[in-house]
Amino acid sequence: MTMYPDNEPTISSRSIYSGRIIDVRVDTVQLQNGRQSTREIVDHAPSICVVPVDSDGNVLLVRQYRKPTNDFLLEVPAGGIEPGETPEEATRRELQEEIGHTADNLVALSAFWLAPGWCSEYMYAFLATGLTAANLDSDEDEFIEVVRVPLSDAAGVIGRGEIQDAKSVAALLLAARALGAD
Amino acid sequence: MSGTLGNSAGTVSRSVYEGQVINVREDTFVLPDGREHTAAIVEYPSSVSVVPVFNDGDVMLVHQFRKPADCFLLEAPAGKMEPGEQPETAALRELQEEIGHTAGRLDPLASYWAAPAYCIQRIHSYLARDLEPARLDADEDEFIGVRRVPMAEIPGMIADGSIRDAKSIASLLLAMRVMGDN
Repeated sequence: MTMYPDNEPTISSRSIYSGRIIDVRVDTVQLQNGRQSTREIVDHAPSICVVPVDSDGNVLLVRQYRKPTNDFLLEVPAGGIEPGETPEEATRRELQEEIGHTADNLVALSAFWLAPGWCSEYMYAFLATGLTAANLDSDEDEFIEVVRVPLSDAAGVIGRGEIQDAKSVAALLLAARALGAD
Repeated sequence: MSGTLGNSAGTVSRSVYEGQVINVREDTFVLPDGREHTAAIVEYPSSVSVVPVFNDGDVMLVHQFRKPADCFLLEAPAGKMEPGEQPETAALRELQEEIGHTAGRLDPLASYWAAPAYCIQRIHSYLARDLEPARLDADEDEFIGVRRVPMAEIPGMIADGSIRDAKSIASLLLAMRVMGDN
């Protein structure tokens, strides 16, 4: 019996779409049973998300319109890592752009794929404390409102459906555990 | 912040890719400051994510190669809802396909968007208990292994990078709260 590799080697890759934020490709792969199949893959740059907690124990969340959801979503600050940036540098930049703060302390909470069944986006999650107000201009197409929520109520906010974003749910629950606030 | 942005009436959509699992469209719409903006949006079916917990407190995870991540990932069982399928029905079907069990008790944990910046995928997550062996054939191009671990080991597995999937981290930590095992 022929043994085939179990890591789906790429036989061919076809570019389908190249956009500002995402690219799309269709990979033809060899399966573990030797057959071929195709995988439709959305490529997105690595990214960060951050749970900023102030000295009163409040999390600074952002509310913004998300076109794919046709709704305003409450999320933790997040954004793409720019070429040459480390995840920590991207986190400090996004904190300034989205909530107008710097942070004395960044602690890595986790890193995860957002949707590994179809998308390559890999996101680093941080906890930020020791916040100080300091502004940078935000991306010109982002319109963001900052909302403060007690970290101790993170699970309640999620339970009431006020946060409906996978990365935010994951990062907030990890931050609450890290700070003993759950 | 303008409420009119939540109104999709002025949006112009253009299809750029229609695939087997995903479609991609470009939406052009007007930002609050009056400028026109175009965003690529991935259409992907709504999905379910299930945390199956045995009576002894063990949770069953699935292990599979994920081409977009280019590695094997340990995740909560999950899958797309079929057209017309209710999320609860999909959750019980995926359990039977992926871990060979059905559940006598299914409790909703949360619903959230997977990647709301560019995708319409929504994930409904459940806690599954009273598990009984029951097998349905899996999709023919999926090769899925299972791994049974004590729930108490989950936080350590997230911290050490053994679990690196946003929906799994979110749903496992929510399940732990429901189980009262903080």
